[in-house]
Amino acid sequence: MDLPHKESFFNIGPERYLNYLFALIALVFVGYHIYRRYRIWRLGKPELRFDRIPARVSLILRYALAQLKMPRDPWAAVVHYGIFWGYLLLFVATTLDGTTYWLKTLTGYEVLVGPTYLLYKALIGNLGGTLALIGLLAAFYWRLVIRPPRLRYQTEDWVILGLLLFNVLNGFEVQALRLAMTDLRNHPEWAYWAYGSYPLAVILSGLPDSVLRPLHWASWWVHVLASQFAVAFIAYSKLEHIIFGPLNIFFRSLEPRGTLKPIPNIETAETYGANRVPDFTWKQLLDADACIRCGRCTANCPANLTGKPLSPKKIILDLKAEMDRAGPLYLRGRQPDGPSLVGDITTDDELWDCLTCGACMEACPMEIEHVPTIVEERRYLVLNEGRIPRDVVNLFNNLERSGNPWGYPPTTRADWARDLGVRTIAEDPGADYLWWVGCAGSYDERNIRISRALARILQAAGVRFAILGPEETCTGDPARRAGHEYLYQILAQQNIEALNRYGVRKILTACPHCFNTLKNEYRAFGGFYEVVHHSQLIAELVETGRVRLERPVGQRLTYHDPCYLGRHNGVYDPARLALTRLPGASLVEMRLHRHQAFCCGGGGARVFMTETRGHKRVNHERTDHVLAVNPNVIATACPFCMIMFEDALKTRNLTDRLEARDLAELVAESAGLSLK
Amino acid sequence: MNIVVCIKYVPDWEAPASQFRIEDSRLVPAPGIAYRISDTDDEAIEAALQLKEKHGGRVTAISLGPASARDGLKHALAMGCDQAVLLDDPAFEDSDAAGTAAVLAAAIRKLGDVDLILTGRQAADWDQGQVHAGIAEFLGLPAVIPARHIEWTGSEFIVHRIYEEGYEEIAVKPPCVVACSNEIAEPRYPTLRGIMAASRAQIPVWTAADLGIDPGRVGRAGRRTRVLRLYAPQVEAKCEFIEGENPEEIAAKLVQRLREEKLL
Ligand code: SF4
Ligand code: SF4
Repeated sequence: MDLPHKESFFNIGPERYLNYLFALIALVFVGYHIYRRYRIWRLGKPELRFDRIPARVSLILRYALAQLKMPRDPWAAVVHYGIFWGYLLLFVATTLDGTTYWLKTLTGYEVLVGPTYLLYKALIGNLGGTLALIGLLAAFYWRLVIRPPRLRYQTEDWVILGLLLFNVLNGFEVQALRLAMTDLRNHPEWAYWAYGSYPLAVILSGLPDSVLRPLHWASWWVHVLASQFAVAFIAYSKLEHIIFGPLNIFFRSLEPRGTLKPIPNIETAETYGANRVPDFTWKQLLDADACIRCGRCTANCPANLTGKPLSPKKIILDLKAEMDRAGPLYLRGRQPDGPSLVGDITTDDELWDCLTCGACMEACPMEIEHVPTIVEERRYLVLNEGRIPRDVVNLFNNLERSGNPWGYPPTTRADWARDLGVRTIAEDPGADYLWWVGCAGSYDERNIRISRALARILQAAGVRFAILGPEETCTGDPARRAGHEYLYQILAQQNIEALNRYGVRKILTACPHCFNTLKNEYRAFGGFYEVVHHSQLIAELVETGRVRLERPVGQRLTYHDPCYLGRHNGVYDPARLALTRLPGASLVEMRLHRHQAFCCGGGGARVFMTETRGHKRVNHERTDHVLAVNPNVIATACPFCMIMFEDALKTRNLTDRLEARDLAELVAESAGLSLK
Repeated sequence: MNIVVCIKYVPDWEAPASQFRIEDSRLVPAPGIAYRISDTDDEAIEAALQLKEKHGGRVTAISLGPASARDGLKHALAMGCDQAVLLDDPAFEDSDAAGTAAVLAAAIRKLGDVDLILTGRQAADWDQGQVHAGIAEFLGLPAVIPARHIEWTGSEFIVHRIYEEGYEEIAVKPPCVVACSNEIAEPRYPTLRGIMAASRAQIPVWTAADLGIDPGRVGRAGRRTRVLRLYAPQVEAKCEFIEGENPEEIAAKLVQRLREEKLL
């Protein structure tokens, strides 16, 4: 036959079938490894992650296959896309090759023949090899010359890269040797299609068959062995992410980022939170196995970047080490002793430093869920061990006694609105919006000014709203994020009872933490509401002309995305929209904005804790980001961000060149409303 | 080692004055005001728990008060006390320090076999600081008031008693009364297991009859002291900014001002 085709197993005798034996052995290694880890995951508690399969498939397509997070780091993109797509194509090429061979052997029918074969060779095999080669060379350059600090540099990493590079080069060599003896002699015009190995083939073609044949035979076998070794190595190295990564992405939480789960049956549970392997859910254990140690989480963690001991990557890898150490013992029915994961390995300080800002989860290419794991470990500290920093004890006591974090009398909650003619829901049960004012908006002097501005906007726009007044208590968010799930549930139930008693459907709030809790977390306790953040309502009022922005305010504004509005709930645009409508103002973006925004330092109940660790305070670091774009106003949309910025501006003597103002204040001023 | 801790459950003393009314020389807190275990009483509980954790034994919390003091006792149980007793009887109402001490002493006698009685140095509501001495008096025990440290040697307690210039170390044999100051320990926050156990615990109530107390000697009837006048003082706060070129200058001016006000 004189059509281009591949002579499968060219130059390889019947010993060719050993090839399949090696493949089988490699697969057994991998399979056994998966099985061993699977048994450890099964030690974990149940968690529902099998719902909404189509959404999960779409996750796989976006994050496992298209790897949409990769381009955020251009070097990582070149390296990982190169190696991933390259090897994927090589795998496809091998599979097609094998299938063709067996089809031909069994049925005599040949698929890969003629132009199809040439295209296959060019666009699958050789393209794959070339891409992988580019990715690998870039990887060496990246790691040897650029040396990004977030990566680790251990022998294993070099072995893997070396192995992959060797396999690609070796593959080209085998092909070149075959071409030198076949196509190059009979049909040189076919040989070009194998552009990856063609140059080498030309060089080698000068050698006699007596050299080429044995060399090809040996290289072929080296290729088989090295490839199968690489497959088996999946079980012994971070290459396991090829399997656990997509699995973990598939099982990712479909809830808004950072939504926490209740402790089931809290009244009857025997231990609380997580410290031992069986205390975690199977998904949290799978998370640990999926970690590729790329360090993206830690490189984006505001606590870590300001020198605190917390590293989200370490949190995950500590858990993995604990699974490796204790997992097999549990499987043998033993109760392992030795160091405690929480306290000895992951320290209390690390856990308390977390802002629950979600930057780690946002950055993680494996969709690992650090925040729920950290909170679960905090729950262990609080509920099981009672190891709680002083500030947090005060917070809990205040929430318990007074229903707000500062211990103000609950009876005075609505005093801020006394002279504004704001009605309570008891007075106006037909209001369109129940405005959830929140603790900061009710008691904190600075934030009361924002509440008053918002009240005036709503009144001017003719929005019919009412507040709960003294019946409102803290949503429980700070208690929950500080690990006190029980206190959270008490507060949540109290609030849900009040809201449901008034038949509340639609809630407006200026606090992203309240927003997140009311919208996403009260569902688990029977509170289903449509929740609107004030930035959303204000944007709507501005767009529809119900609030007219007439006076110029600020000149150069930058907007700080609150974590619980932006990253956790995907609300980025309304505030920006309203800000760009302010006459005379221009909006400049900080380098880290939208989903990459850097926390103000107040999340995860940290606003109530003194910042004692690290070389810099988080709010000072964020203020530096603000200063870098040189605005005269930082626009915020969160009471805690406001507290953190006010603090930073005061402690750094910046108040005469920079102001922190809430969106509501800017809009009210521009609309000519009173700010008193 | 058996320890009894006497606690008082009082309206949040950090609440602003606007949260209280005065009626007939009596203090009426606003409805909804938070109650909590009095300052230094919770430190006394912690000190007791730490002694128990080191040396074994039982810790019993007792409180004289209205039924709502049960919540305070529940908190003590949640922190780790082994049992709690509420002393409640209409006859106890409005006791003065002597009356309160008499009731508590009777309860401690009824508990029997006690090595150490801990109290706070003074309750956060009236700040009298008399009950501990009264208990010691009624029971004929030694008392160390106030203490910032306590330890057990196996045969006696070593107590650091605070006085103006520092503290003195006193060795005292059990049983004895020790009034705790807030330096003695940092009160723990109860674990959830503690909270759950406490919420299920039964707290017995002892009345005057249970304690064999003559109702005429305690409560309103038995008062030996009388409040003449109760009023909220007018506090005037003035804020003054001290300015200067540099911190040194500001500090110097501040010192001068404080001297002028005879505060230094
Ligand atoms: S949530 Fe934020 S602070 Fe916490 S570990 Fe992740 S990045 Fe760091
Ligand atoms: S947790 Fe995610 S981001 Fe962090 S090192 Fe592991 S894979 Fe990378």
